[in-house]
Amino acid sequence: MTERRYDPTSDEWVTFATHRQHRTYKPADFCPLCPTRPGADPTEIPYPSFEVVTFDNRFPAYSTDPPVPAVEPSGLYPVAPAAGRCEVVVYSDDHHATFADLDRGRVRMLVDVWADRTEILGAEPAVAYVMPFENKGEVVGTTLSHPHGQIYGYPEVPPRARRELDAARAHRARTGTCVHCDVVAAELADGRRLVTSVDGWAAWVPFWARFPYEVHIAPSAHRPALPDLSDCEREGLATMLTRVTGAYDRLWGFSLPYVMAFHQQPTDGNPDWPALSHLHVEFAPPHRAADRLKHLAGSELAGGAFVTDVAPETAAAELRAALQEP
Amino acid sequence: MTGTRPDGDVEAPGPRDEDAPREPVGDAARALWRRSETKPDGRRLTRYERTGDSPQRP
Repeated sequence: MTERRYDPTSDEWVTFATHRQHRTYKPADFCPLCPTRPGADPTEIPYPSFEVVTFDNRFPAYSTDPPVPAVEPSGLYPVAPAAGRCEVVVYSDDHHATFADLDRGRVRMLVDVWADRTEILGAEPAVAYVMPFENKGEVVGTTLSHPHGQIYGYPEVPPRARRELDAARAHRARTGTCVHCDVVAAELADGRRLVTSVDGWAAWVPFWARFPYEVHIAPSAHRPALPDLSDCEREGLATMLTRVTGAYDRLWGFSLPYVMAFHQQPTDGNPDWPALSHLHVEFAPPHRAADRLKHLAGSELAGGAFVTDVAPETAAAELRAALQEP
Repeated sequence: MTGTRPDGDVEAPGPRDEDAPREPVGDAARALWRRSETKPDGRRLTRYERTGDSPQRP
């Protein structure tokens, strides 16, 4: 069963993709994201080596030709096909690399690939929002250890992005400015939560961080989406991604799990979006200490009210210290 | 041709006669190309290259 069901109590859609229950799970002796070596079993990628490859997920939550929903809709319970796109992005043919291990040129290449896929998927009528993301580490649900991310082409603006756009609209109505432009300028000026910066970019622990070592990266200029970045700005983003992932891995001496996601302009053609959307990357590591995880429990999961265990200013200072190689 | 692992985990295409055509991504200064093809099961696959010298299928 693959379909979207509407929750009238929260005004959100939930996607059911029950075939994903049987997706590839931590295969012990075979990696489907490795190159296909001569004479060996074929993998998803039919080349003996490669730089970056994207392909349609074999177990997609959204697809271009989704099945007809299995249940009948009603006035109370609307149902829709799970139309959209789900792609896998394989960062390298080195099975043991992590994002932080990638050389600077490969990270820059990934920025170009994410921008290109944003344009390609965003041009599809069924796609309203393109979100590249990476789940890194078993604690955030990674089922394959080969360095890779995913790109979801959602059929509507997902709830979190929609709330951000609503907040941006309210801020613009109140002040006449872009809320993210104001935040980046404030963090660069203040410096206490800043992790690192290069010309035109900032990485900081948010004033409102929901996860103790959460980091956001954004351009100081108003850029709605990845394709809007100049070559110089793409270089800056690659530098920031390399620095932040390196600091994460040096923070406690192990490769830190995280969820990394790009938030950008929806692709459904609404003329309001360019002014309200400001490209940014959000890192949400689940650790609150080297040996402790922040669990989403009663307040966070049931109430949606986050309680954070580390002051953002403290986390930022620790991450700044971890920027340098020992 | 479709290859399937005994455990059914992966379905992958077998060899083909020709590689997919190479398209530039952005202007020439970016030196990035993509080759897009369709797997035998209908899924799309795109290989991105900086070098332009791609290894061929085994």
